[in-house]
Amino acid sequence: MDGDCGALLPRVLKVLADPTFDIPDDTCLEKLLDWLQDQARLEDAQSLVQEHPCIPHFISAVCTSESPDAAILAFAVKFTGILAANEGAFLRLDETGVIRMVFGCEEGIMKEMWEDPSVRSAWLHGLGGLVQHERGLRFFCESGLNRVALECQHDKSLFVTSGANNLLAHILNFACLPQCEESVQGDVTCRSAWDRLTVDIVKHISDTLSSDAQFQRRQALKLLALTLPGCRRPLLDRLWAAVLGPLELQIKMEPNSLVLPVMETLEAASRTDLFGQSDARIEDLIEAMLTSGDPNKVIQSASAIIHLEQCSESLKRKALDFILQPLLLISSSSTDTPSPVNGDSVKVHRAVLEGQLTQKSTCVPLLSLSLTSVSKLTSMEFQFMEIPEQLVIGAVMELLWMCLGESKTSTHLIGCSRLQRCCLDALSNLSTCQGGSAIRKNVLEALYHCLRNPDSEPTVLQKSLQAVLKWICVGSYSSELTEFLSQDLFPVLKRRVCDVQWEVRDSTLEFITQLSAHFTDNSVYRELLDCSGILPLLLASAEDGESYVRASAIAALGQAVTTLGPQGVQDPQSGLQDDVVTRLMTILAEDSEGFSRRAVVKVFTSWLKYQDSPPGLDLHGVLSLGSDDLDWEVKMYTLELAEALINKSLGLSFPNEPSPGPERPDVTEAQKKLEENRVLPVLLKNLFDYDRPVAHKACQLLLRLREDLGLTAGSCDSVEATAILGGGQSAEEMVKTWLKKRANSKSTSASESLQKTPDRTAGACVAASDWPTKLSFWELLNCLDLELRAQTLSLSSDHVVTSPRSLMEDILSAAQQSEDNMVDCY
Amino acid sequence: MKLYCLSGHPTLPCNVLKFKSTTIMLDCGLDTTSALHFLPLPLVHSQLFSKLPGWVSKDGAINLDKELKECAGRVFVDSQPEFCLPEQELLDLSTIDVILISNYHCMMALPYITENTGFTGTVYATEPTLQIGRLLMEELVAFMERVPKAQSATCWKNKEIQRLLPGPLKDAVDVWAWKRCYGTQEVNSALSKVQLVGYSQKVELFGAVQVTPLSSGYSLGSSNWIIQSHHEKVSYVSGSSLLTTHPQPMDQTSLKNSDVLILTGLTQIPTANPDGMLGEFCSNLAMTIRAGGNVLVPCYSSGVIYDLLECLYQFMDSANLGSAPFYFISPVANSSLEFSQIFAEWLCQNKQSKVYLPEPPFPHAELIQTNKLKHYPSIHGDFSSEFRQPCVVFTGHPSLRFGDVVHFMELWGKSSLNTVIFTEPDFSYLDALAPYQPLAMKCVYCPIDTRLNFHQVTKLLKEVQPVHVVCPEPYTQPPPSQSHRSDLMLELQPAPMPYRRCAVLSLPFRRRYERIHLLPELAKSLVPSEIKPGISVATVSAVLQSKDNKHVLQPVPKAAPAPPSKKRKRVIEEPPELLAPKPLLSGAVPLEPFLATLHKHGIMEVKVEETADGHILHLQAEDALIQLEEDGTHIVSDSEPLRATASDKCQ
Repeated sequence: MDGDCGALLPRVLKVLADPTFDIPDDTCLEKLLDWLQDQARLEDAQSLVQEHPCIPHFISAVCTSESPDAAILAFAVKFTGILAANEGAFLRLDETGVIRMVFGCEEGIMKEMWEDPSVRSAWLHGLGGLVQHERGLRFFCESGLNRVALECQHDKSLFVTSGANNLLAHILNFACLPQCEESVQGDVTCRSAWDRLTVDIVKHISDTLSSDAQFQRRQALKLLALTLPGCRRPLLDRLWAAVLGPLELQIKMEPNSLVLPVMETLEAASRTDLFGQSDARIEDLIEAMLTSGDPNKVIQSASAIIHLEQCSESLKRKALDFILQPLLLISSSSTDTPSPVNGDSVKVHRAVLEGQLTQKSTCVPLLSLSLTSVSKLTSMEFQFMEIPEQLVIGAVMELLWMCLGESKTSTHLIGCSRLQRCCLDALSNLSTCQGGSAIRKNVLEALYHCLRNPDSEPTVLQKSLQAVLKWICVGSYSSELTEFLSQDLFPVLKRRVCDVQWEVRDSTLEFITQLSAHFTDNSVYRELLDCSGILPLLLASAEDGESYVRASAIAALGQAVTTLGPQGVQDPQSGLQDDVVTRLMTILAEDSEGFSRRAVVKVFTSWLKYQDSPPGLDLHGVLSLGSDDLDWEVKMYTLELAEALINKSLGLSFPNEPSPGPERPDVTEAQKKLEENRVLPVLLKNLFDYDRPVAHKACQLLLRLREDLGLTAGSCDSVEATAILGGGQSAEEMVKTWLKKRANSKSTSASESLQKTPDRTAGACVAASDWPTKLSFWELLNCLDLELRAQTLSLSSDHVVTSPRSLMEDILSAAQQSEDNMVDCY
Repeated sequence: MKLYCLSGHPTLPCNVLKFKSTTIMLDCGLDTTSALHFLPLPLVHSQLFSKLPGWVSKDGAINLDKELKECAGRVFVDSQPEFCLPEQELLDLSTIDVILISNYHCMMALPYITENTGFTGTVYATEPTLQIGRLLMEELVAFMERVPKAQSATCWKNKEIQRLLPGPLKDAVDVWAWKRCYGTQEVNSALSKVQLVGYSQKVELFGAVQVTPLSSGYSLGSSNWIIQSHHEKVSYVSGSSLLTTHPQPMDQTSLKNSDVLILTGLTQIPTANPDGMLGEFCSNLAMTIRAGGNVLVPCYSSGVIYDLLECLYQFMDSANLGSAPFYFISPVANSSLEFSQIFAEWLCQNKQSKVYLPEPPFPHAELIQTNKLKHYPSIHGDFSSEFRQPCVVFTGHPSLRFGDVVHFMELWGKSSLNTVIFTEPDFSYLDALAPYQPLAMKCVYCPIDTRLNFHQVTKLLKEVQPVHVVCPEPYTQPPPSQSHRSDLMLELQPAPMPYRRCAVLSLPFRRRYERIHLLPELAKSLVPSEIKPGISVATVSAVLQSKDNKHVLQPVPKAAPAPPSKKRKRVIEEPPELLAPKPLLSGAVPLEPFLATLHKHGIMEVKVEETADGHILHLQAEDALIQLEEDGTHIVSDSEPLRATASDKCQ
């Protein structure tokens, strides 16, 4: 703990202990507690208590206060728990009687304030700290706190029950730790108390699981799921034996509304040593979850089973049948193909399912659940076992056709966008399946109908486009794909780019960008794009009324130019690139929204990264406009452009790009290039920007530039200052002003600089008043103290405000103010 | 109660309801799809249509080259387009008492019904229906009269010849009933018979029934009608919409508890959602304009065009449609745009409230002010000098057979940059385009039909719960092109009664009650006796007076005051003027005693047949028929003495 904070802490704790103090904002207590927890972790909690007697004093003052604020009391209790987690600190606090005062909930202030849930919750959190060591646990047993903790497990407040669950789970797991067992082994009293404690908790879980109250059963299952992963034998065997019966009853219960917590418990159990044990019957219980009468619940369970690590293949296959059954059943009813899911277990279920599938209200959630589970399956290794993936994809497509009204059966699903969204998600994920390329044509046809359907919602369209992109990437490029692109996709994209809803226009433009990026190296695609008539529409979209759409159109245009490359765009007749450049420059200069201007600078940067700068592009103009922009993000992107330019000039590679050839351009040559585009004035100007991230980025770039150019005192010649500072006044003025400020604020700066700087240039750099007419790159960069500046700028702008010192000062000043206010009142 | 179906077209209905001694025509829609068999009428000399070869049958036996022309692989009639009228033979049109019009699209055949048929009744319609209907009729007349055709082709209609013609002309039905368009005079005369009504206004028809128009939400002033007597209620639903467009919303609650609901005018494109189509319309329009092309929208001069303009108004800025102008060309363009702004009370709440701001309810006023929308009576005159491309042109007629649209089809058809967007659902766009083939311009079909779809109507019927539903036959089965879509038909319990053209339906409900007024003095004289708690009966002796379909029970006139005593004797001798009333007849005739009585009177051969409501007795020797029902007895016989005898014995 630094000195300032150490000095403030007693005053702060005194203020907090004052019952008349009204906490301005209870988040300050949370922040203070976080900081104290860090301190307890970093330093020894014992020494913290020893060095700061104000701490036990504060705790006992709060506990003996007549009417403390519940928030302060909770804070004090949690704080005690944090400290008591350290055995030494625990002993120290115990000596002062604080521990009993805080955790003896049946007497004193804790009893009085017990009704407040925040106090109960804090008590449980505090105990959570206390029982981290054997002494604490012994205190817990001896004080009979387990009864209260078990009661809290049934508390009305979810925070309290969750705290109780964590505490009880920790106690059971702690008891299993070998070192703990050893230490307990020797002490007979302790051992019996210990045994009693675990027996009590296990019995409590078992009793609660058999309770009539669903809320209590849910909590018991949660506690069990928390306990099982860390529980070891022999306690594990005792625990499981106690809960097996009630758990079985719970699984058989109809309707079983606790499917998810039961599955979580079984999942936790399956990861323990019990799994392989036949009398534990875990797999039987898991299988029994599939016999529920409610298909929705069965699919939920089946979905969880599939994800179980230790589970037999046969059970997984069975679970898979249940997941796929609704999907295959409804789609096979229209295609008349027999469903491969015909196991005996599924047959019983089928009648209920068929009934539910004919009603829209029950059918939609069921199919959505099935589709979501299918989507999750695609990310798993085993996927669909022996069920052909094509059959699953076919079923999803059939469902999509039903939603589009093109299927011969099941008219009740027409226009259901919720199902369409699920189908499209599933189709997107299924694109990774093997054998996808064989049915790519059919999938793309279904997706095309979604795109064409005038009634498709924007989200459905967006998902359709993403699915199209995924499926286009499946397999190799073929003439079939060319046909799809030119005859189906491009015409519908052209229409969607002009859609009434801006969301649709936006996602279509984003899709065009992604598509063009995917096919950058494909000459057939380039030709198709060139002839599709989309480019004029993109140009027009760059003037859309909605700024998001304009930004997406600009990105699409940029990518189109990149994809078309020199061959396509340098066609004198098309003049596309000139048009695009002119349009983008106008947007950068005139557009009222930041989104579009940012997009423009990003496009220029990407051009510069992946190809030569377009002939008509005035980079200096872009840098100048971008660095003068009011939007800080535009300035950031402008700096990225400057960075790209620096890399290009220095022949450096970009991240994710193959490195260029071994020969690097001459430094003087590079410097000349940068001077031509007046990069340095832009960096200097941004170095003094009011937006910290901008200044920081500029500073980093300048540092890099100095390093990459390998600048030393003698490595570069002095040139006309205007050559470096760009001739404009602004950069020069800013540098001068900054130097002047620094000189004023630090009287030593001049002499320091003199010491650092070689004789020849020292005077010229520091004396802002007589600015030299000639200076070198190195001289300029050197006198700016870039390292120090980078360090200052790297701190977040709120680092002062979020410091513990500031927090404590705030608490003190709030106390001061409340005193002032009281004086005012009188 | 009977329903005579004069049109089989589901959205252009023309039915006649006979109900309680009134004869009510429900709508008189004009089916103009027959015009598709005719060659377009170009406004200026057309190279395309002036040099078409005449049609000659393959063997050369039939030569109708004056009447029929071959164009783009099909045969068209080269004559002024003719329209398919409602059936005129099924019913004497002069007997029609009133015509109820539900919307301006369903009154286009009015002059054919009211003129030269002996019609003497009244037509009821709301004011916007009348005014916009007039505009549409005047537009139609103007389209025809602007390019008169001297000849009228009739030879091809000869059954023997028509049979040999190529399709689809060969399959056209009732071609002899097709008529040329009416003239201005007929329009004026027909519309002079219209009496204006407001929503929920009750109109008495001869004291027998009351008719009431209700807002139907489809177009300005569009209505559904309630036709009711004291004890019966018939609802007529035609062209209704539940969407939030410009008209007042549909009044659904007043349709509740109908004995019969006649359902017509559902959407013609049940698979196309109007919102989606509106989106398609806008995006195709924007796409064409951005690419430098022109857009042609063949449409009616009123109706959906208001919504299209409103949608475009909102879309224009974000879609960056630039300075491309919108042109609305119709002989009635100006009136249509202006009329729409003045019918504030017939508009939806949102638009009504604008009037109080005050602002024009439709945004097309602003489009006109800012010169983005310009309207012209025709392509001649100002338009030709101010015309600028690329542009969007809204013009009629949607059949592409007459009107200014013909000119634009010829002008723009050759360039693939241009697009024609069909928004009216009345015509098959492929048939409409047939004479213009081959066509380079893009064709987009975005039919916008805001009328009720099957889902909405099923829900509506569930709510209003009519006892019987009558509807055009096509609604009782899925569309032929989508036979699997069982959701695109009416599935009701009991099943709806379907009708087709020329059908006469006896509506399946029997009138059981009639309201009769008791005069106060008669009521005073009644002596009710309670037969069970809350129910009392009294015998009534009175004279029933029926006048103007109103029935009144009046006290029996008192016997004339006693004459002087000298005549007393004579008086006594004569039977009194009013004897004690005969026993009151009520209940069914008991069969067995009646047969015995007949037997007593020498009627021996009686064959008894049991029916649903009673019995039918065949008096075989007398060749007579006696129908005994719960609440009526009919004696059918040529012999008056026998009838009298049987009648006596029934009592």
